[in-house]
Amino acid sequence: MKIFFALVLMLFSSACIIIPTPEHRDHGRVPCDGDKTTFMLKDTTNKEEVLLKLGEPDLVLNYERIFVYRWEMVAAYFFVGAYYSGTGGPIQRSNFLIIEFDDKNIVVRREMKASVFSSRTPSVETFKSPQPSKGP
Amino acid sequence: MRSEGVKSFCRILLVSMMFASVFACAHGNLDETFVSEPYVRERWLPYIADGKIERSEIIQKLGEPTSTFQSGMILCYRLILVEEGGDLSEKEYRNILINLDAAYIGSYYGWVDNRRKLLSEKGTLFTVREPNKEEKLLEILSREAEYSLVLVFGDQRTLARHSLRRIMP
Repeated sequence: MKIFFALVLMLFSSACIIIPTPEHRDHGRVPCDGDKTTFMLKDTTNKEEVLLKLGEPDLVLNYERIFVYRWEMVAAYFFVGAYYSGTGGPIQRSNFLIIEFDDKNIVVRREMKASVFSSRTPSVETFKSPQPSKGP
Repeated sequence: MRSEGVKSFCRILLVSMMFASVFACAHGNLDETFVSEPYVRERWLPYIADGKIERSEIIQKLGEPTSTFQSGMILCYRLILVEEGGDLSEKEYRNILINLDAAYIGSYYGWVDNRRKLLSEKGTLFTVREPNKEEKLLEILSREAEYSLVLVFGDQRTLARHSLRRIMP
């Protein structure tokens, strides 16, 4: 009887399931976190070192003062079932590494930001330092 | 006697089913040989050596860089590994994307491994720049791998340090 009930439920109901998973890379840019950034020290590491270790940034702001690296990680999978069809796919989490340099091209800020359910790049203003930085 | 036979048959069936399920779950491994940084460096960029090549020679060989930093003392090249030859057609592009999707979703990389091997023989490292981004959009979207080449020059305009990083996939 229980099996019959479960089968009826499966056949006549539609559903959306979200399965959270440990964050992992599907494909796309190589992440710039963890071991990749341990070399970077505030007030010590210079711009040359950052470029050599992490490669060209995805976004350059304020006359080369701010570098932004972006990559995607899969945070969960969703599955939607309907009567005769269904679909599913990964839920991406956008990650941003923001690095700010001073006049002498030395790292003064290093920050990580992440957002789920947003494939769009956030506004440029969100990457800038909370304190206004001076021009060249 | 008959029940012994049935038992043996059941055992064999059970073991066969276990093997079948194990093989059904078996995934292939992606061959990284032809897209690895050391291979790409040796295959397409053997002339890049610290202290031996000048800025002008690099630009002559690779063209204008994707971006420059510190008043041109640092050059960055965004290099994509793609098929050599003319522009990719819409049909070729769709075919590549379908096969790539199927490989990564199904974790069976036979097609990708073959493409990588072919690219190692007949492919090219193409420099992406702002002016050619739109023109080569299909090639960029269907690239097999992407690299960031960073070149730091000394006062004498000779290459002082460099790095080649695979940044995608």
